[in-house]
Amino acid sequence: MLPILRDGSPFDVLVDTALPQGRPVNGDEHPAEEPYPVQGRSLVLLRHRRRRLS
Amino acid sequence: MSSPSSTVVWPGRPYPLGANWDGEGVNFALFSEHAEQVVLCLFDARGKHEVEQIPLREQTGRVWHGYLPDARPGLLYGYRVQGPHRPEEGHRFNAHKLLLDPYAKAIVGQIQWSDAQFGYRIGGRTEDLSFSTRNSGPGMPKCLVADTAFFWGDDRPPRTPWHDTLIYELHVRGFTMRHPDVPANLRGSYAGLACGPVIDYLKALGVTAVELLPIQYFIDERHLLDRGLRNYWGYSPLGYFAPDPRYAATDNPVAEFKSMVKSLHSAGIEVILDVVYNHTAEGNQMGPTLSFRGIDNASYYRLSPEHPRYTMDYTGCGNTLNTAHPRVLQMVMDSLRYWVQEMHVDGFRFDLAAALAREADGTIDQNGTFMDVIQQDPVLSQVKLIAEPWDVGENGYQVGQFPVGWSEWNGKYRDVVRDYWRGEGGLIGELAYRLTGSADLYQHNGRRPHASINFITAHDGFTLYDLVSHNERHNEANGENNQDGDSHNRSWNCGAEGDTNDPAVLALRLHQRRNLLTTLLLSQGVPMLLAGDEVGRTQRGNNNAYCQDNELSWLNWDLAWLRENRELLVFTQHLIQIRRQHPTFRRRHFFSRYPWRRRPRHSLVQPRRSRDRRRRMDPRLCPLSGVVPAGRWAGRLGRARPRAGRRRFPVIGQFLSRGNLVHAADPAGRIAV
Repeated sequence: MLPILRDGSPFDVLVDTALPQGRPVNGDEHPAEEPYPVQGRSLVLLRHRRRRLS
Repeated sequence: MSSPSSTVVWPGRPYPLGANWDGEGVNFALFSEHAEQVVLCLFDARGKHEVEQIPLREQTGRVWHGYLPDARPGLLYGYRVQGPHRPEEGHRFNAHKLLLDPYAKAIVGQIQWSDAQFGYRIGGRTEDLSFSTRNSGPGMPKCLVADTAFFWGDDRPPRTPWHDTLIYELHVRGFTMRHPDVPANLRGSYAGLACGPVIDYLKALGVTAVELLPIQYFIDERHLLDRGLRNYWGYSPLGYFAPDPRYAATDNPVAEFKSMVKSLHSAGIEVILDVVYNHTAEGNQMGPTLSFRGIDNASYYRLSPEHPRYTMDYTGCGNTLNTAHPRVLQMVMDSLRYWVQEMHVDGFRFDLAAALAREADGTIDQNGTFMDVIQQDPVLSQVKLIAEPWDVGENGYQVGQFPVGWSEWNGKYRDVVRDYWRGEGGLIGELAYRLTGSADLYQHNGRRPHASINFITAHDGFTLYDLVSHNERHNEANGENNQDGDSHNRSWNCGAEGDTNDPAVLALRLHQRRNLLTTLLLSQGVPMLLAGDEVGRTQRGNNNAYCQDNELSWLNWDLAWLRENRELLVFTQHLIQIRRQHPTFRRRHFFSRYPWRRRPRHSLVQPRRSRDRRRRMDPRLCPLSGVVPAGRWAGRLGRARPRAGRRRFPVIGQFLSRGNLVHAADPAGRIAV
């Protein structure tokens, strides 16, 4: 389960070594407060996408 | 040999050592403490005939010197040195042997091996105590008086900060021998490494420095040539000032090397040399007499105090250069400065560096002479200094013990990361240290995370592909019945040894390589990537390819066209880009002074130790602010046992769960679990 950080903006999946190319091919966004399945023997790197103040 | 000289010889000067062209003539200067006569030998332009012998009659402070006003660059020369032949006392002078100048800036040719290169009679009853009268001159390489003039233009050292550095370990010859876009006549050469397609590749990959396996003049040992092999790696040095001509596509290795450095610099890439000052190619007392042994064995080598007939061997290579002797230490420092100031290299990786830190009595002193001399040197103290922090002598394992100013190959990082990903248990505590820069090893004496050169593979050992494809070494090609090389590789073949068509095994191997590369490139410290690991380079299970100067070692660029390797290359570039974009992976300071828990745990969390607000806000103590993930993660956050849900919890570094590694947040909250 991913947390909600500050403004509730989503995460970018930068690395997931379980995926064939090591990262998502089609879209790398993952919503906050949603489960992210981590496969066995894998490494995942997520980046919180912060909203810019206008 | 020639008749006595009629050449004009002036007294000259004892400094600088070596053969130095001053624009009008050439000054020759050679140190030997125990010699009785030093003879300069001049050769014809082809190096075949010894045309003159010139005794150097001037001696100043144990330096024999003379000036030849009519000599010019391009002159070939060597020395013959007379002195006592008393091997039991450590003296092995033998004027029948032509000797290379330790300060030669260029050396021409390779040894044509025969028994003549040995100072004793091979096969004789008294072995190395005997005396050989065979002239070694015809089979010896020759020193060349070099004209070092070169137009550097606007060359500037990139001076990449340590925390931004990413090292790429490569072999000059092996990297381009099979490169399809390098012109055939330049493959395997300094010029080949400076080719546009090669530099474009390095830039696209994102490395900031190349670390070259030894390029200082070295020899192929006789026993290798007898078996049809060669010394590929180059850890058998004989000329510490001369770039090896075997890597030159032209007849001017010095200029070609400089041109290579200049090209790499213009691309923002630093050049680090792997240097081998711990031993020479002359081996133990049964080895050949090629240079140092014949010039002054008792000064240049560490000898047994009780039995100076024998060399002390802290290196596993038969001898140990005597850096406890001031003139030998001077030679090493002069050589290092020459490579920085004249050849413009940016740093050094010192092979078996622990041997250099040994004092006269053989004990290691990391605050001793060698380290002091480096530290006070205004040139050397400003370049990158990397230690291979061990040798094979007593207390030789010195990981974490080098002084401020030094970085080290972190062998513990290699071991624990390999073990972790092959499934060994109980490593979480140590893994936490390794991922975060190994503060336990380097923080105690004021060093920073860049002291840790993180690596998983290097030239010595399995390639990354082989690491996930072999449980055992396969060194049969070396001709030593597969007895050479490390037998404890911490490798895992993923279910099949070597070649297989099993798609599940192949997929797992690729997955494991992604895991290992990600770990390497996102750890704190300085990553070192072995050239070709990003495109599936294999040595077919050979973990000791030191003698394989052939397609077993050379990088096969065709591999880069295989889909899985192409994707792995893109993935590696992606990781390097992440590292470059996010300073959180390139910290200049350690996270904290508090120890990671060493007990096996499912998670790595460092609880806040103080309620003091200032300390809580201290980025070194609490640099990351995450939120405890709900559910299954909540119970795995160490002793603090925060409640599940969104409760805030200060974390540092990475979260780990069993078999999974999930990175945490950066100080700005941009990276989170």
